Amino acid sequence: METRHPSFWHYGIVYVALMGLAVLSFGLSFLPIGGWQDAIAILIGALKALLVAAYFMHLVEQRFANRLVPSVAVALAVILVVITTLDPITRKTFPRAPMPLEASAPVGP
Amino acid sequence: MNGHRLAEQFSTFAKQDHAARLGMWGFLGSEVTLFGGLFALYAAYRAMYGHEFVAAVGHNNLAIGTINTLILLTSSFTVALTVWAARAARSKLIAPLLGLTILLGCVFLLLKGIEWSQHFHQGILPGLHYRNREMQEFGAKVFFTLYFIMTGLHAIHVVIGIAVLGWFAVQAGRRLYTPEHHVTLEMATLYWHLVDIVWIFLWPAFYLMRG
Repeated sequence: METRHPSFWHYGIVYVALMGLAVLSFGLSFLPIGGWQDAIAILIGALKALLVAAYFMHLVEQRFANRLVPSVAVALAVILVVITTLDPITRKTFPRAPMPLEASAPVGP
Repeated sequence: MNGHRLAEQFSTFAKQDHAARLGMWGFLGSEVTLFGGLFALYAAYRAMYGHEFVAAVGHNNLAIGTINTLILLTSSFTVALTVWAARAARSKLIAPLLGLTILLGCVFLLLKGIEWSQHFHQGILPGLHYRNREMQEFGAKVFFTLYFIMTGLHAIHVVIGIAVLGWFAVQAGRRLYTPEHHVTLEMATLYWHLVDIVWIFLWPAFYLMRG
């Protein structure tokens, strides 16, 4: 199977896009938009990672099996992050975080 | 003889190269889950100690973190060009491009060392050794412990990447890579790109997310 490889300019365009996204992410981090700032930073990060994986790592020209392996790994990592974070977020107890050691120590004999 | 040998279990070089790529992607997948676990810890603790984490992110050196991001993105570009050079039969370019990538990796480590040294002088150390007086909250200690573990593990990967690329730069000096046979070089560049991708997420987590 003949695969058409990217030219020097393809790599150059992806590099310029990556630098542009990094500058955009840096600039947006100064906007007073609260929690949205975090979501935007992660989204731009995901887009940059996708560009690196697809073009610099040549995932776009790989066979299905080679694409499947990193896709499954990323999916597992995302599930791990989401489920681990859901625990403290949905906790009904107060406070969410463990009590400091001195406050939670048993009292009296 | 150009040093490329077809192992007896493969009928063609194409199948051998495919097996090599599949194995490398499997390894990179295990790295993704390793760092994924650490990012899960970060996210869960951030949910518990949101205010302390935001204050601690604001305390980190944004300039160094951002310059390091641009450095690693550039190094990803230069290392990707080595594969382009091999495919385009411009093997003379491979060693200089690998050398440039290694240099960028060393500058990254130097800046990271400067930042860590700034933290140490401020009493910001991992775990029980933390003695900073400005940020005394438990969440700040957790943040900086995760910061040292995650950026430290990443720095170890950068060091390994530099060593691997150094070895390949020596090999490239002997013109071992051709448009048909360069899969080992490609595997080495994949590792370096993974190092870049991990940093792409470390940067917002430890420098940008001040919201």
